[in-house]
Amino acid sequence: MALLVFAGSCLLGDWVFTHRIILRPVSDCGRIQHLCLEDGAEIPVFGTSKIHNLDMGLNTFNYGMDGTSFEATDVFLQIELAKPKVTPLIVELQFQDAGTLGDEGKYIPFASDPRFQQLLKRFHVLEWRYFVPGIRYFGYYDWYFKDYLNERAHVTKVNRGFVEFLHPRPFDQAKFDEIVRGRLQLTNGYFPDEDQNRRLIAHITQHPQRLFFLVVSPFHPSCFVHFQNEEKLKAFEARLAAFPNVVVIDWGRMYYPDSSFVDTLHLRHDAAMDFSQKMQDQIGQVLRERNAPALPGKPSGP
Amino acid sequence: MGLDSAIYLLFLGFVAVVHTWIPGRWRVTALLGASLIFYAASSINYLILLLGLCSFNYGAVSYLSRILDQRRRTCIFAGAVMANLTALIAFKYAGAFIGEGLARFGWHGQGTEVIPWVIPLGLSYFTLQMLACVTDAYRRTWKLDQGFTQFVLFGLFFPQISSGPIPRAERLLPQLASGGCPTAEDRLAGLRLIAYGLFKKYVVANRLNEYVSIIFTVPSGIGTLPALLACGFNALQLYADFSGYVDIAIGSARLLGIRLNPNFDRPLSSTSVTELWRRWHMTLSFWLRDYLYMPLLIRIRIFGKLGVVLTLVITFAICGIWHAATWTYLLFGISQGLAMSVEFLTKSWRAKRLKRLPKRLVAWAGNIYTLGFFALAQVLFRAANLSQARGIYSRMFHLQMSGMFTASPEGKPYFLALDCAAIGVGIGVAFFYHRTSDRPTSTPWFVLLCALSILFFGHLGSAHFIYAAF
Repeated sequence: MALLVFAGSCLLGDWVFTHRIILRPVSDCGRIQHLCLEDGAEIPVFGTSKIHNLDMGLNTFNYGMDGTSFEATDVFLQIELAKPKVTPLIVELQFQDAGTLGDEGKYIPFASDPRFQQLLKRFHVLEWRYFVPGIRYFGYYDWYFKDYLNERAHVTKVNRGFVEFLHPRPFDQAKFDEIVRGRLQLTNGYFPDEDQNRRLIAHITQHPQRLFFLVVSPFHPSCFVHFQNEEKLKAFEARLAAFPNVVVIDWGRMYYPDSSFVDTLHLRHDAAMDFSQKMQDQIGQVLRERNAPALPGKPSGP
Repeated sequence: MGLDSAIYLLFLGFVAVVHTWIPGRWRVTALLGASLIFYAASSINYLILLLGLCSFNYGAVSYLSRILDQRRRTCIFAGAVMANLTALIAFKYAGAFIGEGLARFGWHGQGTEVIPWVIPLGLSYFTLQMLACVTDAYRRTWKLDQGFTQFVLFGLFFPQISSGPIPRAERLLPQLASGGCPTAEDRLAGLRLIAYGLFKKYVVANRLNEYVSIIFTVPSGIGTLPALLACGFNALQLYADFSGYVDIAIGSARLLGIRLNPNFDRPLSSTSVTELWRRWHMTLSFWLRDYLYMPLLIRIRIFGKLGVVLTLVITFAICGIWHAATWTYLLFGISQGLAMSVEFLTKSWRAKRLKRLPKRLVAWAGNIYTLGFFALAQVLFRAANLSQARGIYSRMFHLQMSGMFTASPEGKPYFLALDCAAIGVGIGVAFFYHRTSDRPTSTPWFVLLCALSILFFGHLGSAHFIYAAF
């Protein structure tokens, strides 16, 4: 009897969480599901948390996620490029791959998909229980629930994938200086992973009908102190720009004051909006120059 | 193979089924085989080391049990003690000593850093267990009546090898020699304990660890209240983590019909530090009392009260160092020894002054003092080094109320409320556990409650038990 109650409770909890909390359109899982199901005219934006809070306007959908390395972006690109679409894509160009997956909880609902299985396997985090409904979310219920609480308590607002923190902490120069000191102790530079570069180029060459905007969003100037392999970065960007379906927009050195940054990598909301507007104008201009088909305007709702 | 892992639970289930179905005469062999497999899963090389130490100690104990010549007995005893301590020092402390030595000459980072060194699983506990055997045999308070197989099983018995409880030969060896014969009551009690232990680990300890580790990692930005909260949570986490482990260990053994010594007796209800150490990590406390404190006290009893104070401080300094050779553990141990010394010196004075006050009030005040002191001392136990401990203490006593609650940008106080709710569930489960402990029919429902709580409130957090590091 107790076993039956246990099994029933597990399955009920799994169902309620999956449908009411985990796969909400505003959660990371919901965004991955959106990627798998979307087959319309959206412009996807792929990358790390660095571009998470960029609202590129137009008809974009932001898939930027915490701790995402190129490996996850690669899977997202595979899914996106398998669709019969012709819209452009915006992909964050990373100087050095984090080599992390972020929290694997966001991939658990999709563990039966071989592409995500491979991704989880690559990071050695694939577990047998991810395939067993009822116990697959063990250890992650509160992770999902806290995300849900943040959104319900209006701490965050997610619209077309981009996240806005509604009550950000005030800027603290002393704390920021400490972060900058930490950054100066790190090795900054472009450290290419040839295999990843090859896979990115393969996506570009195999899908000439899709226009790739490869974007570098602003870094704090401290990230460019003793910056290594700058020539290699320029050469790689030039190599990418030579493809007819690629536009490289390297605005990594675009100046923003200290108070515009959360840390040395992430812009605060106002600066992110300012940068997004500039990026939107630039992308619009490129599309007009290339006589790309007219894009639908910004949708009214989330 | 951690005691909280799915693989261990499967392993235990398999061993329990095999143990039940095989004839009684094969049970010792089956338990020994399971223990060897369990240890080999950690390291085959160190299994050979421990088997070697077991053989050596078996020889020493057999010899001490047989011969009468006191001089030869003393030599054998001294040799056995030296051999056990040498193994412990070589494998557990050598890295720290070398690191400290290099640091003195400016060749290596900070003095408190320990050179990465793989310590054999459970060596600290195994050494204490063997020292107790050898000493008891030398004192003639216990005589070895069992064979080599039983003795090796006693040394390597898988539920308790990694972090205790530290068994006494006179209690455990006869049980192991019979191979264990679990009754239905044993099995139900074992299941209850395992479920309760897993609950403590996943729902309480791991969840508290999330908050505590953030505060301990970034002490500079936090306010007084979060620092105090982290200090209290840290003590509670350590209790839930360690007692959770012990519950699983005792429950696993009970499932096989073996009763291990209890290691905790509601320590958080203690009214003095002295009482707390009689209720906390009891097998270690009693080991220290019987094999270190009492012999030392007998030797320096001529100093009167000063002798007692000295003995307490030395005993607990060694207890601190036993955990690891760092300044934080040493200070932790000394602080416990000093607190007990103060309690010892003021005992009659307090008894006179406090007898007029209501007993319940005195008990409450004593409990608050004990928990407060213990939680403060646990900062030393947790901190990676002295500067981190200093950072936490300075945040606690700087009275800065504006600090942040968590270090993550999206973290909000209601996350903390969620953690507190989980602790509330923990208290509810503990209440249910104690209320139904004499009703075996409630076991399936208790296990169900624990399983559902672990599934929905459980936090993966730190993968290992804190005491597994010692």
